[in-house]
Amino acid sequence: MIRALPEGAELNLETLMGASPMVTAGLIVVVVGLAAFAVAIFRLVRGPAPEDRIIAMDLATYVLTAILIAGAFLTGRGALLDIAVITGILSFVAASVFAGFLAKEGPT
Amino acid sequence: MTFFTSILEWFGAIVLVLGSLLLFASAVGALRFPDFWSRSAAISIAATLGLVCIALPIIIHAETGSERMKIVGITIFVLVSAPVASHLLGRAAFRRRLPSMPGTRNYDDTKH
Repeated sequence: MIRALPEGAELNLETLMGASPMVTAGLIVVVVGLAAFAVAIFRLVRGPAPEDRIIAMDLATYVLTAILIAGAFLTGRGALLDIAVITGILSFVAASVFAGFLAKEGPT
Repeated sequence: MTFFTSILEWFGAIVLVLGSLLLFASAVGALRFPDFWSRSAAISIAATLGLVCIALPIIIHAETGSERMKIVGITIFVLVSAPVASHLLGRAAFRRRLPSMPGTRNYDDTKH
């Protein structure tokens, strides 16, 4: 599918590093995205209100979708894009269901 | 590699790094902002822009049409659904009278 490497090159970190600027930027996206994911999980654990936790989960799912798209570009595996579709849809469904549940609950 | 392809590669790399920095800035905003509403703004705006910035160069560089259309579908769905989810959560939080940061005007006497 998406070809980040030249034809016949083996997929490991050494061949990925010197391939092209986009591939190096894709590796940067994965690393920075994992850092952002860790920060979002920290807010999810800490957040005082349930709404804070849900919106942190939303952010974690967006970051995960971005990491999966970049990973599909880097490794050339198309199955990662299907998982990205599922996480993108599931984030909206979870947020709207929890929002409806919380709106029924009344003032704190 | 022709000149045009090289320009496309370098611009794609710049936009990818910009998108990852936007995602990280959104996460830092979610950690550091004092209030649910400011956190919600940081997440729903900056993270959507970061995701689009990461998806666009990969759409341009994709080889087959089906994978390209998958990424286009993800991007459009997130662009449509992120404000809706943020609005639903904000309305739930407003009805539950979540505390706002000190100095917010007209919050307590707004009709809930």
